[in-house]
Amino acid sequence: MKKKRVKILIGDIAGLFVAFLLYVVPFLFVLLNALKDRKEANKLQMTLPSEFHFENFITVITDNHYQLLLAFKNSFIITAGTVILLIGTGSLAGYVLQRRRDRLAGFLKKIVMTGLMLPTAIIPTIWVLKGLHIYKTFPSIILLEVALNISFTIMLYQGFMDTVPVELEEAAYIDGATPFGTFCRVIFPLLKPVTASVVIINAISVFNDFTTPLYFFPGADNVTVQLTLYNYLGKFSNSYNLLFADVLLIIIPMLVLFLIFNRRIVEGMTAGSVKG
Amino acid sequence: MKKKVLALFLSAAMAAGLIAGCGTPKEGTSGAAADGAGSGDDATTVDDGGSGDDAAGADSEAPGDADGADAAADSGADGEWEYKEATLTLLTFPDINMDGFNAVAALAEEKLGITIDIEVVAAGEDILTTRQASGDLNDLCIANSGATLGTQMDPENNFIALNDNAVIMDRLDDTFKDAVSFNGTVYGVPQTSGMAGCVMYNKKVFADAGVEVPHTWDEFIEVCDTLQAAGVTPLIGTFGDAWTSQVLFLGDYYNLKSAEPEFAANFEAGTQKYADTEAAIRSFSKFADVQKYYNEDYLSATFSDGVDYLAEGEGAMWIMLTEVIPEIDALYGEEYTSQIGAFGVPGESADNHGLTVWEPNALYGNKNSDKVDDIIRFMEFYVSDEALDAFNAVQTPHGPVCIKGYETSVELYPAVQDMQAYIDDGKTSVALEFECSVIGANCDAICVECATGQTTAQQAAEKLDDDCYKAAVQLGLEWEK
Amino acid sequence: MKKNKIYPLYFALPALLVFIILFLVPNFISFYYSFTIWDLKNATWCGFDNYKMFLSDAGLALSMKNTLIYAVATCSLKVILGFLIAVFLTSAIKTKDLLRSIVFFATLVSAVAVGIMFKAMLHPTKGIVNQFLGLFGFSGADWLGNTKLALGSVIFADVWRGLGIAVVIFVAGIQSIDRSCFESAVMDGATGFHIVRHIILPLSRASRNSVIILSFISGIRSFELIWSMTKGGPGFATDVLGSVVYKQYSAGYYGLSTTGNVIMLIFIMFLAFPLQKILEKKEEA
Repeated sequence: MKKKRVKILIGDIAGLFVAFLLYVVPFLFVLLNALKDRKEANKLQMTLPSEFHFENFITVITDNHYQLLLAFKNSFIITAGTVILLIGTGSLAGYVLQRRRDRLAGFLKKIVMTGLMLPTAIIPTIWVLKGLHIYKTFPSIILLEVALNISFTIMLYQGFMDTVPVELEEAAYIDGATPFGTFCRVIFPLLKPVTASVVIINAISVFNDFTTPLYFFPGADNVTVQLTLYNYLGKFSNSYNLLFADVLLIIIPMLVLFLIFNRRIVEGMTAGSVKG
Repeated sequence: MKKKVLALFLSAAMAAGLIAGCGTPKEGTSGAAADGAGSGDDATTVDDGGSGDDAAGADSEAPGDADGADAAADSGADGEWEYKEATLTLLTFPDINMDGFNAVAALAEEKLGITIDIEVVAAGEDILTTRQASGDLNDLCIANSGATLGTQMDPENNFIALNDNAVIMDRLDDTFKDAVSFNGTVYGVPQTSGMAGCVMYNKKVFADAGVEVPHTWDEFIEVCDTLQAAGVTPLIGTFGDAWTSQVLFLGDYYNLKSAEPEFAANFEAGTQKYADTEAAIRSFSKFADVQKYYNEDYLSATFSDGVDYLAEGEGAMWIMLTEVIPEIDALYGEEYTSQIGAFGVPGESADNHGLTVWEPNALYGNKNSDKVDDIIRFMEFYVSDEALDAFNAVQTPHGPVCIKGYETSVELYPAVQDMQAYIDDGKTSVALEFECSVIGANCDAICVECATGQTTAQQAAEKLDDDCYKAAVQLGLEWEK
Repeated sequence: MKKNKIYPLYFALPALLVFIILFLVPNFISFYYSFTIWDLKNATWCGFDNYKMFLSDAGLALSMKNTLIYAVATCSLKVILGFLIAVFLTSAIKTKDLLRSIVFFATLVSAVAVGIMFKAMLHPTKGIVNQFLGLFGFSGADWLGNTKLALGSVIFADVWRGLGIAVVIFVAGIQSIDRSCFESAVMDGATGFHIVRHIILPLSRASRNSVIILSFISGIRSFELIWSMTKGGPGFATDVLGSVVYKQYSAGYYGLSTTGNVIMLIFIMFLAFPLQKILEKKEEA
């Protein structure tokens, strides 16, 4: 028994050591250099700053008429809107597509899976958005992000539905509930764990998306957080200190989300999670 | 149901437009006037769909618009401008130095009442074409002059023609006019000064090692050897930013042209190729000659590393565009720029040591904008002495200013004075992209491959021919392989 | 049949509508343009010329090879490492929640930002990776500048970033294995290795298949990370299909880049659907 405890202790220490080296050090590196002045940061050393420049963070926030705050606002709206719509549409679709065993449902599943493989057609998409008269609006970018992420979301819900016994909804149906009522009152509450996964995975993917807003949401007022990185990457504006400060600032929202849902992420992935 | 949703979206869009309109006037403008201007513009923005034709109509009037042109013309000298509040949007890219422009924009806000709303987009210039195709081009944009204007930007349908505007046309020098012309129509004004693609060197390092500016390629190699023997890194390589690798090849165009004066015309006509032109292969072979002289990290170092290396003398020379000098000035100061000299990429003969120069990026106006008058006002102001003075006060020219009859009062960098000597001697050529419209897209990667010894000079030349062929086909140019 | 009444197909309608209108329709439209020379406004029909041009490109073999290497390497590393870490994190160690959170944290960072971080750390002379190796007497390398190493370095960064998701999927799979399986195995005197080999490995197959399919497809499509680290260079050494297509688009070769997308899609389907079939068969067996 004692031997086992020592073994576990060694495991803990080794695990922490490796995780520290591979995962903590890079972020420490980013943090240290975010606190230096430009010249010192461009040396890219893993040293304490000779002088702490906390004002780098202020600079990044205030630059270009508080562009970062505007970007945060835009990214929040897009991310929140997309995630909410994904939960609504994805859970319904995943539910029926998993439950139905007919050919049509099988075909639709295949169609949905192509969503993981297809590229985005830039100009034709803009034509469609214009045809719908929603181009360059929040609804358009949100619906587009929904379209881009719906496949994976449906697959997550489908996978999780495998673990939910059919008897529940059959009982509710026999009791006279409508299909939608059954879903809302019986099924959806059971999907909480996978919904947590859906929230965090999609939030990460949408919040970190760089290309979609770049092409489909033009305009200086429509800047999103990932685009702000390029303020410090240009030929004449390369400064690692500000770049790293920006990197850290734009991780924060995802970090907060992660802390909220951390414990639930694993539960949601249970049961084979994703299936084609 | 569907109609309802549409209506909802539309009204949301309109609301957003209104909010944006009221929000645009920046702090410092007086409220009432700003609001008036703002909402006026909005009326035309909301029913965007149909306004395309109107805007085009406005365009054809604009250059002849008596008020605007006259007011600007007689006020150009004494600095009085028509004051009318307006906001113009501008599209620019992260790799463009905006210091000087920002100074002019600040002045324009004060004197013309024009606020410039700058949007910096990260990505290739395909964003520009994408926006043109979707009708989202900003009022103004900063983009390349030269070959890509005609081949990619479709200026006839997108940019304001400037030929009838005497105020602007009289200011532009002829070489620049060529660079922003397509089918005889002029579309842009110089966004900054021109520049050279040349060898920039640290004078202090040269003096310490006892070497002089070389005038032939052989002398250049000797200088490299001497420097290396003295324990100095002779040449700075910054291929972490692949585009920087091209400067040696493209900057050698003066020598290519000396050997083959008709190359550009023949290449455009499809009768001559890089691969069967000895002088072009010679340009590529220079990569192999210098490979051993680069800094240890030349494959990963970036443009901004290069700035540090050259300024601090960690490398003796850097084959780069002179636009780097204001950057050294901004980061290190005059003490450092005074140490930087420049000479053209040497060729075979010391008597014919020349320089390859680039015309600057241009500022283009969107002809489909509903603010064509304001755009013209801004462009007229942009080429005025007053604006140029403001520009140069914060961003000293890194080459010829491209404006006729303008003499800057700021002291030029020594490297730019070196450059001027070539211009005065008549030993310059514009870069190939200003003489030939068929330009490959992968020149940078082909140069890096050649510079790292993955390909020979001959292979690189063949690859570039293929690359140009692809460009010609895809951009719909008539060109035979 | 009555059963399907509980599950009316219109439930799937909102999702499918958005997906079809904003994703499939534009893709169908663009399929047409893959047969044209296109400047985004005017298109000239050119038959299969673009396909010929794309497929006869001298660099295509290399970018195809790189794409496959990239997809296979990132996928297998994520599966193997993800599985091992998950086994470790479901053992009796005390810090498992902390460790899982640390590994997952990297997935929160965008590809662009990860590219920036790794480019800085892998710098040949200044970078901390080479300095760290120097402590042990290794001379290090130019990780992104050396044409032989560059692709490997990007693969490492991709695995570093994507491992968190794989680990979570595996942890979930392992945790859902019935406790009684372990108990009876321990009763039979199975050792740790045997439990992993004969119980955990087969019973976490569903999770494994998910990780394989997802990481393989994303590996073939990957572009952002490569672009932010090497832009396909040095030269063309790390070009993958995604970066080739992107470069064509930004050069204004809109028809050709659309063709590239179609070819890439065929390439993915050609590999992904059979892969999925094989995996499913094994699962049933």
